[in-house]
Amino acid sequence: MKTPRRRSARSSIVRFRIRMSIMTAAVLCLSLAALSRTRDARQDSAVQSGGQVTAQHEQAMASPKPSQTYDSGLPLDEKSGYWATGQKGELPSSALYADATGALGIVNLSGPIETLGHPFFTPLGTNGRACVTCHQPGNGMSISVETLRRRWAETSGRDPVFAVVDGANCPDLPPEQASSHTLLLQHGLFRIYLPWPPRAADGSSMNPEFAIQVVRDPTGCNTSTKYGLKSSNPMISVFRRPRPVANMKYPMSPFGLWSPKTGEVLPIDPETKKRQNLNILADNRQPTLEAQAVDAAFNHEQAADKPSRETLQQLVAFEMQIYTAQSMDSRGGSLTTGAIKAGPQALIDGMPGMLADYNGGSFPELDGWLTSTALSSQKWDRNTPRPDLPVMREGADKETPAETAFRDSVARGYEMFRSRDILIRNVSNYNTIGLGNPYKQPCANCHNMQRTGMDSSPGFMDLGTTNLPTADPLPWLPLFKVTCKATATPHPFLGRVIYTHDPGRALITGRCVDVGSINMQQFRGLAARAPYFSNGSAKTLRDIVVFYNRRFDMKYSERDIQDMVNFLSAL
Amino acid sequence: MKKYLPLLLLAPLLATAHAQFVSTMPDKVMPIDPKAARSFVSCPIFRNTERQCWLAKEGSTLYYIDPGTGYRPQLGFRVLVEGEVSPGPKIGGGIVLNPVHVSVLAERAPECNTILPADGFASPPAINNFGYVKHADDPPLPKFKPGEVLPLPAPPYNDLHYTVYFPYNRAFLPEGTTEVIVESAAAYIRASEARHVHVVGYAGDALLDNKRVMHERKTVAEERANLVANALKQLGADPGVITVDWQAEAAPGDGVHDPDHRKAVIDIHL
Repeated sequence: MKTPRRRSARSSIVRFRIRMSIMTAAVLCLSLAALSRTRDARQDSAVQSGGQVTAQHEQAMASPKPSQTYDSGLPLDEKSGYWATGQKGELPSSALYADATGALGIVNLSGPIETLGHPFFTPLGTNGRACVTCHQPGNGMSISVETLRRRWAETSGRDPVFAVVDGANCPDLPPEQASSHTLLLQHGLFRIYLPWPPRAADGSSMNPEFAIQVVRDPTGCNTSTKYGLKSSNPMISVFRRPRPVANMKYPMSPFGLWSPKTGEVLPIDPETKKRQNLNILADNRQPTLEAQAVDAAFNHEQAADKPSRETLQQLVAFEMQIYTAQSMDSRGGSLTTGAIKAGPQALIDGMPGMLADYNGGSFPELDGWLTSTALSSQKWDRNTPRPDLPVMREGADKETPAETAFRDSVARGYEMFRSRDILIRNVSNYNTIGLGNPYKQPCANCHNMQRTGMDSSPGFMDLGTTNLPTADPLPWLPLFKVTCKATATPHPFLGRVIYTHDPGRALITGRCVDVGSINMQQFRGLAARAPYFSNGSAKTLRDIVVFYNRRFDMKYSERDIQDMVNFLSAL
Repeated sequence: MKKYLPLLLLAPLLATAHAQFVSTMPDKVMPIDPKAARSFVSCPIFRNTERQCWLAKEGSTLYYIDPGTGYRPQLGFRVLVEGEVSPGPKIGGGIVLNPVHVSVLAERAPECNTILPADGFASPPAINNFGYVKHADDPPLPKFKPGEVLPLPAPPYNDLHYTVYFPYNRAFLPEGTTEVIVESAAAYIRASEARHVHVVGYAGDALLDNKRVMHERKTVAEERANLVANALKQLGADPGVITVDWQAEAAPGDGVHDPDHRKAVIDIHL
């Protein structure tokens, strides 16, 4: 595998910037010509998008405009592999990036990508950010809090990722102070601002089933007279992690024709004529990658105008061809050779739209590490039949003791994930859709999409990561009081009064049953992109397992927890 | 009116297949014995056997109530149980109701929170989650695999009707065979190029064993009709041939056949 090729000599920076300026001007001229055709088309029918975008865009454009503070031509960070915006370079067809437990693999299926001028790596708006700013190859196409902290130190906070529109706790805070960016620097959280009341698809205001009050506002943004609920453009600010933009053929592929969550038929994309899986973003607010790109250009990159059709097509093509997964573990060795063939290639080879239960399990690429010896201590009843296992793995005689210990641990973790039943209880949009409450199933029942561990159906459900009392206290986040109207169907397990850090999908649908429902995200490349959960409340993989252990009274032993952590780190 | 035996009776045969490539339509039908009919509201009880086990008490009598269909009980809510006492052995300590219809009532009931230990009871037989209680007038449905898109049916075509049943007070299509019925109807409408499709929603009261009558929401028949009609359109049926109607009055309950009235009927005319 090649490592990313860079030009980083400081002596060439001036010449580089001049060339960049000329090229950028040319690109801008061409882009503006294209954009002029779609100037008033934020809600046009060609790209079907959520109705909240127009109101969001108004706030984005009212937030501080780009200034000299933002400098996209900063020296590149060779050590960390950070991709700054607008930089000349090549993202190779395959690359390895060091991460917390080994190395992450990245594969560009369509070959090396020249980044200069490519819309994923080029600012589309006015604040110097590009898509790559928050979707870094070395961070599994998300961005880790470690990278954010390092970038702050390297650039004194001048990198565009810290743009105050959503990279500060609130846009009215001084951009040069780290204290203005505590949620980003300490928890990896960006501000997501959504109109209140929610908007229908045509942009009109909905009549939500609940009222919302700000109980605690540590960032000041929800009570801000310019950016908050009582502003002229009423907006609720919640804080979320960026999701990985890779392996996208999986979340974009519907499983069947229906959403089990709503009992309705999945809609058809008017452009592609294909069923939409509604399985991206924490709140599923955008139906397609095109619509998500428009949303991001307007609201994260502060673009004045909508990206051109050609730009959107390039972005989607890039996102659909990039794959990422953990490829090496510092204890367990290679994840792509020997008995297992994991890493990005497993995702490239896999078929999307497959329900794990019926097609050989969640992560069949790990099967080669399963042995009867490794699983001898696991005695629970298996509802899913499993073929007889070998006593030893292929190549076991050449394993070091550390490799053997890690691989056995991953095997135990994977087996727990796929077959050890737990009582899954009080999860709105899961236990309420006909499955029963509780529903006695293994982790893999919710995480049922083969290769990614997502939910094959639109994956929003209330696991309790944002709603009290199951959520961690998280005093750095806003706290809202949701009061359901007497005529509304209340939240099935929390009733008519709910305290939450993030109402999740309810901010899109206006429904009480959706309060706290967050869309599931994929499991791949986890070791490269801590922290976890949409609100960053799990700082480590262990924190994820500990949360679930408490939430569903899973009675995991210390070894069980470590086995699950090792399993997750190998994905 | 007749009812068919549910998938429950076939469950042991299907246990190993575990929902792969199986049709869930049983072939036999048996009438309900009015003396064996049960209709009551109760807290569901969960027995934590290896495979989950749903029970409910009417008075001091414990019943096994897992419907094996797309809508199971929920702790935190009462359930309306409507079924027939089966002469077979008890399951999980409860007399088996089979067939059984379980409807989760809308009002929250936090006191319904009982989880019993397994206490040595064996697991209930495996029940296909995509099961369905077949009714006498159902047209044949294709075998299906979860997530699979159904092929268009081949000729000859005739006037036909499909019936979609709902839990008490709900207008929701749960995952599984209920969806396949609607998909099959949509495929039939498209393949036959039907000239007129009439979707009619119905509601039905529940007469409980204690003689109390429960009424469905006034709008539920309309919601059922619109839900099914919209699904047909989304599945490619020509919106121009679909008309929607609903019965304003709910059918009165008799404590035996009440679940049969909570439905939407798709009448297809060529």
